[in-house]
Amino acid sequence: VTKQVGEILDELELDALTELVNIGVSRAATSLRDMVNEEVILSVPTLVLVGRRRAVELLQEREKNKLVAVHQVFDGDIIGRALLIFPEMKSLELVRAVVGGNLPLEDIIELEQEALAETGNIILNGCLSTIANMLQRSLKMSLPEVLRGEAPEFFNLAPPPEAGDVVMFLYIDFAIRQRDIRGYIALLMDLPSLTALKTLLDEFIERSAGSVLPS
Amino acid sequence: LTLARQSAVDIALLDFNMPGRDGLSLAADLRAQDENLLIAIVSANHQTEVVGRARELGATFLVKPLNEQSLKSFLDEAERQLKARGA
Repeated sequence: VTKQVGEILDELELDALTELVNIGVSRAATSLRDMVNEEVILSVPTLVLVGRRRAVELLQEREKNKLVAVHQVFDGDIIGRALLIFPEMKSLELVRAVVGGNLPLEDIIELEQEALAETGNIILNGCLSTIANMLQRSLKMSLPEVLRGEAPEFFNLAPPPEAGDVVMFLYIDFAIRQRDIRGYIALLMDLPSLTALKTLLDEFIERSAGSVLPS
Repeated sequence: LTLARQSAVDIALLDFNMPGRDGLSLAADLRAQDENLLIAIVSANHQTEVVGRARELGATFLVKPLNEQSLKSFLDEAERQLKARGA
């Protein structure tokens, strides 16, 4: 049975989730800035809860060419996948930005896979750890895995969600201005995890409301 | 772990996220082996639980991306402690 977004999270919960994501992504952007030592520009995060097919369309509308993704599974009260996605043709440029511009091309190519995995690991962990801390829960993160392909492959990784066809797709454009590098962060969850997330968000809202002193 | 058993290791810098066992598990074994070993756990995973477990083991938590300042700070403190012990 497919549930609609409005049936899963109400407006207040969606606002709270957007706020958590904002803070998490800001942390990730700070990490990226520290790694490349250049300005990192973030778009206003867009958070949508859609089916996987629509998530693929959203990405394909923005990126026509082959993509690279760093993929990590998170497991705990909520289970899902985190993806850092960017155009494949920019991957060497991103590696060059991270490892430093003076290395010869052959060294950059040799380092590419490992550097991409570590960059994704730092960005995704920066984001998810911040969210987990605010939800007062812990998440176990898998090792990063570098994937190459197109949007449908990234959103249909095995094993598929056991229940429900609704996934959360958060996307945010990040750009390293001086290098014309852009990318996206996507978090995918299935229906049982979204239901668990709803409970955690309610607890977060209650704590936040309780911490506001009456004027 | 074998290396630490066989030779005189003063400082261990451990990544938290590793294939197989994680850095905290390794740190626990190293700590059991040597209560004076100076350990730092390095990770982008800065969840409260991870940082807390590192501290319980008497390890320093260094967040990734690791910068020169935080690494130097850990190493300076390690050097100070080693000198104090006469190592």
